[in-house]
Amino acid sequence: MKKWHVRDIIDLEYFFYRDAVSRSAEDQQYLNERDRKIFLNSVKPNLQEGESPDRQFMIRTWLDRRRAKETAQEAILPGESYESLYSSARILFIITGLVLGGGAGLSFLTYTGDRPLNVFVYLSVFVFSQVLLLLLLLVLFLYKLKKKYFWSSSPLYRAIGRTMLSILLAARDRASEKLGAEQRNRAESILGIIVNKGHTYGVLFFLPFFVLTQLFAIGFNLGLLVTTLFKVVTADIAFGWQSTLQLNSAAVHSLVQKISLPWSWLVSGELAYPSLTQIEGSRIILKEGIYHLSNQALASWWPFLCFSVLFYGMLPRLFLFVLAAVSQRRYLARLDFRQGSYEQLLLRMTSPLVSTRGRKVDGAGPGEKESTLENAAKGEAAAYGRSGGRSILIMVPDDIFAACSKEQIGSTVKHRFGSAVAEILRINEDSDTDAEILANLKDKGLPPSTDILLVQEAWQPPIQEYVNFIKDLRKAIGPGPCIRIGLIGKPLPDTIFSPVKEVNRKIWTQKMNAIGDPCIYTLDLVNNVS
Amino acid sequence: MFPDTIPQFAIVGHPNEGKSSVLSTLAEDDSVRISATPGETVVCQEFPVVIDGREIIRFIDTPGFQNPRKVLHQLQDLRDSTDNIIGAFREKNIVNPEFRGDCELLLPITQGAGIIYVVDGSRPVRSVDRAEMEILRLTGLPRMAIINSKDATTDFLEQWKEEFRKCFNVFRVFNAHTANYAQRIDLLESLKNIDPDWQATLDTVITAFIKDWAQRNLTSAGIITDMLQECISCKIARNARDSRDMDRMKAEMLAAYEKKIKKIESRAHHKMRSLFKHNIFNYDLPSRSILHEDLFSESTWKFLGLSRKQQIAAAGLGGVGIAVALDAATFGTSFGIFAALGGLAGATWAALSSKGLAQTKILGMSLGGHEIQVGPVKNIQFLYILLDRSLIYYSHISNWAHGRRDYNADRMAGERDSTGSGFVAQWDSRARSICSAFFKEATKNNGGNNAGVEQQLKDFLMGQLQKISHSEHVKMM
Repeated sequence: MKKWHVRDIIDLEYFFYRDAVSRSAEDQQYLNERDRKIFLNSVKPNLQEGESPDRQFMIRTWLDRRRAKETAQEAILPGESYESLYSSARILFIITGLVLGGGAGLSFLTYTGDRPLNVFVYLSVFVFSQVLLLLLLLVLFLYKLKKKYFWSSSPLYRAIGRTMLSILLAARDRASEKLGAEQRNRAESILGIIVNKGHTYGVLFFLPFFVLTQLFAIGFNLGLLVTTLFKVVTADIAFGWQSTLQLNSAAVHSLVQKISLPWSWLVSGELAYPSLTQIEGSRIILKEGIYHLSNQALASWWPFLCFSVLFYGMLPRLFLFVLAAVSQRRYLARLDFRQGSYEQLLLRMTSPLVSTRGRKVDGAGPGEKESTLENAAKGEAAAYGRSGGRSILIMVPDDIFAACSKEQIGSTVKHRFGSAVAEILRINEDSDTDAEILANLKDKGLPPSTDILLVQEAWQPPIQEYVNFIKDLRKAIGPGPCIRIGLIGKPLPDTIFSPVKEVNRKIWTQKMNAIGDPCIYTLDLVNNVS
Repeated sequence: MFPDTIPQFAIVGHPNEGKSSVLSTLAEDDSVRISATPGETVVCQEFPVVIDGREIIRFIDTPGFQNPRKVLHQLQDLRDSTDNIIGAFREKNIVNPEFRGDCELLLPITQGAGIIYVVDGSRPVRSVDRAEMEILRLTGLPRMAIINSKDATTDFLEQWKEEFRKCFNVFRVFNAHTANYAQRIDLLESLKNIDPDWQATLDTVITAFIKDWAQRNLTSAGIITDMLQECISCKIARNARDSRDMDRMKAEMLAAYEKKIKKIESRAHHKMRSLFKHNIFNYDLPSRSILHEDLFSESTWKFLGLSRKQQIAAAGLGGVGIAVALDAATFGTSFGIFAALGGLAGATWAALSSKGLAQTKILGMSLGGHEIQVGPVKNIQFLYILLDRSLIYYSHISNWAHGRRDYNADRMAGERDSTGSGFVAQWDSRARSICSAFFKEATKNNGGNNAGVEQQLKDFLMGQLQKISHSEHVKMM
């Protein structure tokens, strides 16, 4: 199967966004039909008898089909735009680095003959500063290793995040009295989605910027090296050292020796670093002028400086560049596509289209065709479910527990997710029993390969008590397993599994989005159309 | 309880049950923010009832319960340690962001406010509702429950009533979207029963409300009578210099006349709208109602006097119109007097070749002299049309609940229902003679100034407006 690229993820997110813009019953039905057709026409024919469809393969096929349809209409997809923009940015960053590095080198290496160039200044400006930046990066990276999520790991991000959050909260508190509930929910939902995407893709969308930075740095160092060498070859440049501190030549020699450790094994003698005599001979003492300085000593510094730039500037950046490129590839290869939008897409693809519309008795009407479709689809959802190999722990609120028979919920889950029911738990009896359930889950953990389905009446407003229970549930089971909020409508005389009103679905979806967890999402337990 | 302070009533309940709608309707305030999204109200808002500059009672809108079961749990734990459990709960949780909404809604309760618990009766009772009812019971404050059904489902009403019997002194059905003046007064009457201490105050409020409503009706009757007087006596006169311009001039004058009448009518309606405290809602008389034949449609204009010759013709036809209308009313036609009149008059004119007559009119104007005058109206139907329009407008404006915000639904219903009859069609001969006397007086050359006739019409209209106010269901046309 083809490798995943950042542009694929961008296009996937773009298509998900477009699908999510309107979630009316008609739109939902259209999405169901479209995605089911993609599955039947493009995924199923590639499967062997009894073979389970692969999650990544299904998503890739869906993406290809959607792209083909879009490009047929000559639409430019954001992934493609990103790719071309990013290629240009890479070149631009290298060139900018080269020019700036070269320019900086040229302006520094101007020797008028009255005083040698101070190697300490060269080292401070071009080498130590870069080493400092690298050290900072290393500290951040080590800090990150201790934390799970990238976005919340960087102390800088956290500081900015905390400040912004406090500003936002203060603004929200002030605005909440003026803002309507709908605008407030929408704003919280958008914030949640941003956090959610950060969790879903982690460093994936950070790496391209990181790569650009490395390219700039590589360009800069290259420019600096080339200019330094060019000046050394074409001009007579004298390097010396001076300091108000009473540094003696031996100390400088020892420092230089230590700095040159990375390359001293590679090149030997005076090429690796100046000798003590050369250091002594290149010491600038203002009151004595420069006439006493040795020419040979003044010219002895440049290899050391070039090696410093190469080993402390250029090579680490090259290493980071390769590391970022490899990380990106590995990260993309490891994406499991288990987040809400993917789950919903796979559900649409594997759910049979059921129609109960009447048709004329004579001839094969559409109803007959649809029933064939349904038969063909039988078992696919189950197969896909098995491919995930996950079962479902169902949580049913106390209010509807009695009306929700085991068989009914079992068949609904089987039909919708193709998964087996691991257990059915009664929740919301009272605060104590809820706390007990959560404590149990925390202690024992979920059985392996188990997700959660929380049945929720969508007409009930998502009050804080419900939202907090879901948050606490996530804390108890830890990251990983999906928490699906299975929405149902108002109870009917014979069943509690009734369709959900659009307005209620929207409210719940916004509220769940606001949690900012990619694996907590809403879905209808009952198809809205017949 | 705090007998020395102003009685307060906190409207509490689960989010999105219509608390703000109930309050908006009760307080006749359409500035209260209402939406279908739960959590619209985040802070308490007071709605004082001020009579003669003095605040008598106060309603308080509150946010919905966010953690009913947790709050109840804490309150139950606090029962052993204090009598003021609500105060203690607030003290404990005031800085906890999780309970921010709950602390806010409990604030008026700590101040001894009476409780009006609002629920949506079209949904089943859930454990969170039971927890809320138990919290309210634990407060020990006088309380009543209101079933404000959001849709027509009645399957769960009994369930709710059964629950209410356990926790509330009084409960009643009050639909914030359809409640009119009479139902508002009924609700206030019920409120008296939750605490005997507040009966006298609430009696004052109810009496003031009734007086205020009567005053509004009296003012409305005056507005309508003045508008009729002004419209009926309205005329436009111009000098015709050239007989060749007659057609153009006629069209211009008709347009100007139409504009003037509409302006007078609209001004009067606007006054009524302000009187009933509507800032957002406005009723656009539907284009396809019984007044589908607009005041200035061709058939209506055929009755408007223009010249001596035309006045004679118009007067004759006017007589036919009334006769036909009375016939129609007697036989109880569903189209109503003016629809029948409009249709039949149109048919009559078509039979008489209205085009030919219209041309005669123009000739009449041309031959009649140099001054052309449009109006005053010589046909009493004009008065009936204006009256019916005003009464329809009044019925919508006075009965439109301030908590109802689906303004388009009313417009759409109006467009759908084009066959509804008006009010005037149901009037008896006494009513007609009052109108006739007023019309006669108003069309007199000197404008008419018989105060007795005018007062008679005002009194009659006042009675009609009161009747509309108390009608159980006003059909939205």
